[in-house]
Amino acid sequence: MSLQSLQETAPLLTAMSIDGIEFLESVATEIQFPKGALIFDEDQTAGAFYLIANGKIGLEVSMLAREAHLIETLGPGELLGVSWLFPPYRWSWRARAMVATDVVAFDAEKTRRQCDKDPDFALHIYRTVAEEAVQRLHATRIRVLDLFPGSES
Amino acid sequence: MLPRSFRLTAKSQETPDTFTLVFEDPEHGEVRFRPGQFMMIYVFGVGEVPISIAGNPHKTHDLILTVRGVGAVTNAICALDPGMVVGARGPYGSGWPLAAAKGRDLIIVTGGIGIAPLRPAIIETLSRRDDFRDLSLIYGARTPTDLLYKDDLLGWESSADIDVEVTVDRASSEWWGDVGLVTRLLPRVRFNPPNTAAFVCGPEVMMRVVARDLTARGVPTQNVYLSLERNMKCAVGFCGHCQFGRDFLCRTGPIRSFHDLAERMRVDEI
Amino acid sequence: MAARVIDSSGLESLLTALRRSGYDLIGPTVRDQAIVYDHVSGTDDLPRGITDTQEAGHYRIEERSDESLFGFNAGPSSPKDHLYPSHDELFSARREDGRIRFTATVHPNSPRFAFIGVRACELAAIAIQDRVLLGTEAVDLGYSSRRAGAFMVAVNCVEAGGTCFCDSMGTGPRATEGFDLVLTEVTPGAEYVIETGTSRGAQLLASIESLPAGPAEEQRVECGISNAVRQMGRRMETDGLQALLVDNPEHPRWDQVGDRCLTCGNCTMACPTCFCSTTEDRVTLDGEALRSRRWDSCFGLDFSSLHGHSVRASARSRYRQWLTHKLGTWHDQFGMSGCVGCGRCITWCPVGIDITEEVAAMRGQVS
Repeated sequence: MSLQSLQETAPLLTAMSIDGIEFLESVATEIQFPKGALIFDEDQTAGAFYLIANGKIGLEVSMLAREAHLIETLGPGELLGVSWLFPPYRWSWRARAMVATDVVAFDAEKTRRQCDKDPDFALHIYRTVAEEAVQRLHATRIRVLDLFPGSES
Repeated sequence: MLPRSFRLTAKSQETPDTFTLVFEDPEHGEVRFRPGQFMMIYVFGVGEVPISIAGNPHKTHDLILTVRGVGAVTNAICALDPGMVVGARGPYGSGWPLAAAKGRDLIIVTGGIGIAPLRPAIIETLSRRDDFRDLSLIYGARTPTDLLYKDDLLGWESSADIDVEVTVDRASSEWWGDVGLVTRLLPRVRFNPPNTAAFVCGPEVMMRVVARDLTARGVPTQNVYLSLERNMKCAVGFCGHCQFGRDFLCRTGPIRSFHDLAERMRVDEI
Repeated sequence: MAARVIDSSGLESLLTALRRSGYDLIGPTVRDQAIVYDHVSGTDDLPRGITDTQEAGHYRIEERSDESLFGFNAGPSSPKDHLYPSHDELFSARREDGRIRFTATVHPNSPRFAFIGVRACELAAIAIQDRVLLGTEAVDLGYSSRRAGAFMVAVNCVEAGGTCFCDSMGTGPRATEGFDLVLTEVTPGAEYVIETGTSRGAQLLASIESLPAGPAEEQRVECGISNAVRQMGRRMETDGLQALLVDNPEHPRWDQVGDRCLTCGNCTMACPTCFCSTTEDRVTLDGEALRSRRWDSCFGLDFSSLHGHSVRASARSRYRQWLTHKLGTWHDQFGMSGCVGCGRCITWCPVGIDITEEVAAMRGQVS
């Protein structure tokens, strides 16, 4: 499949080499999730990672007796999934489509193996994932400050 | 310096502690204001506080204020019933520089009750939509319950004239909007950084983060405007309480460009 | 009008003439072991033969060896206490016919003050408060009415105190403007050279007995003023001061002075230019609400409170705010320094923090 349409919006793909794009295209699958569909769940093996083409995905944590708590939402162009890149390759959260959502899924194991073979490709993957993780860390730290007044959820 | 007497004509509850109140002054009529300006609201015998005007700048018969009850005076305002009276003087302060945004993309980023002083600016920009290029609102709150102006938000969301992104810090899976920091939504809205203006109002830490993020994306610091908040007693530059470096924010603020503020905002306890 | 000379009975006549014209005389007088501005009725109320010694955190009055009436320097009070009093009513409000009726406190009967013995630094301070409180966009009505009616009888300093530095601030010791009449005490308690600053001053002077001042008297005026310049206990280097303070908010000296400052606010109360205020609201038993203004200090914790916390919580930040405003951002706001070099903040600081020393330290001139 072609990743051309995603290249403008997804930081993971911008500035990636032609070889890298070709490899990712070889392990990519388009998937359409209907609203409410479970994409992955806590503690499952992280066998894929995703780029969101359209729609919205919510990362949730199950609150047992209560309804699930939304941790963060992800939208078009954003990377869904970081745990696939680091041992033990298991998901920390549950991901669910909040609306009908189109994603491109990439095979995690094949991508990791490609990283072992191709240092330039690995650098690009690790660098963009790290940048994204740092941005999410910063945003999470600001949220920890609980800046806004208001009620409990 | 002398307040005018205003009567409360309508009151609606926005959130558990925040109300939007509609006042009128039957004797002297309208309050003309620029979006972003504030009034000093006096509660009989209790005291006076600065409150941003949240109404439509073209409907100046009504003085509309959104007030969160946090202190003696704001709690007294929130406890008013229709028919009761307050004093109000103003408007004071600099408004949002709509002229500086003309011909540009305009991004409005707000958090919490910071949306109140921006509501008139949103109404105004929509009333002369052709003056601006892409127009977006990114609004963050603590929880979905804490969102103000839910009717406005629904109206704006259904309009093609403005891109509305709403995000909260915490929510249950029932929530249809986003969860995350306001800056995480910047990639979702359309803007051409060198030709973009931004109006930002919310907690100071949020404004710093937003301003840094916008300027890192290439929005000129001169085009990013923040509304600062400080203690304020007189609103005319006599009391000294609202001093922020070389500014008395009541007179030369509260809205200033990040270009002008950035250095001072790095100084703790300034 | 050329300079004239009056003797002590001439001075008495001057005060009497002012009183008869309806002025409330405010002049230096001894109270609570200090020389303060208060109501006086004649020269007998002035601090005859009394002087003061001042140092950082130190003020004492003592007897002089002569009969001088103006042989002392700035005391704890200044004309600010009367022109911009520490407490002033702003308005009253009543609920009537479904509305609030606001009535501005008017000051038509406020006394017309004649200030006796105002020093050059104090005239400079009044000019600064004029700039602040008689602005283009808003006017403090109480200040405006008291100020408009005030008559100024200035005195040139012929001696300077231990904490004086008006010379380096360019505000004294010679009074150059802002007065109706200016005296120089050329023979202590006996002989005064008097010059006019306004036509009403000249008119008043014409109504009392005086002699023309000759070159000898004028020479003694110059000598006296030169003497005061020589005696200045302090000096402040003002070149580049504005930028020095504004550009160095993290200078280690702020920590050092913050450790000593008690944040008592004495400096702001004694300062003749500090104008910060807060408001008070109260309701009387018969249902009238009153709003008043009261001096406030940027050294107070409440001053910067916002949603239950203070923006300036540390002593360091509050001292920095005061000094940076006074000597730095004041220029941006009012086109002038906020300091006139009167030395009150040095004298009345209970721990002897010295504004001139702090500036020198910021410049790296003090260890």
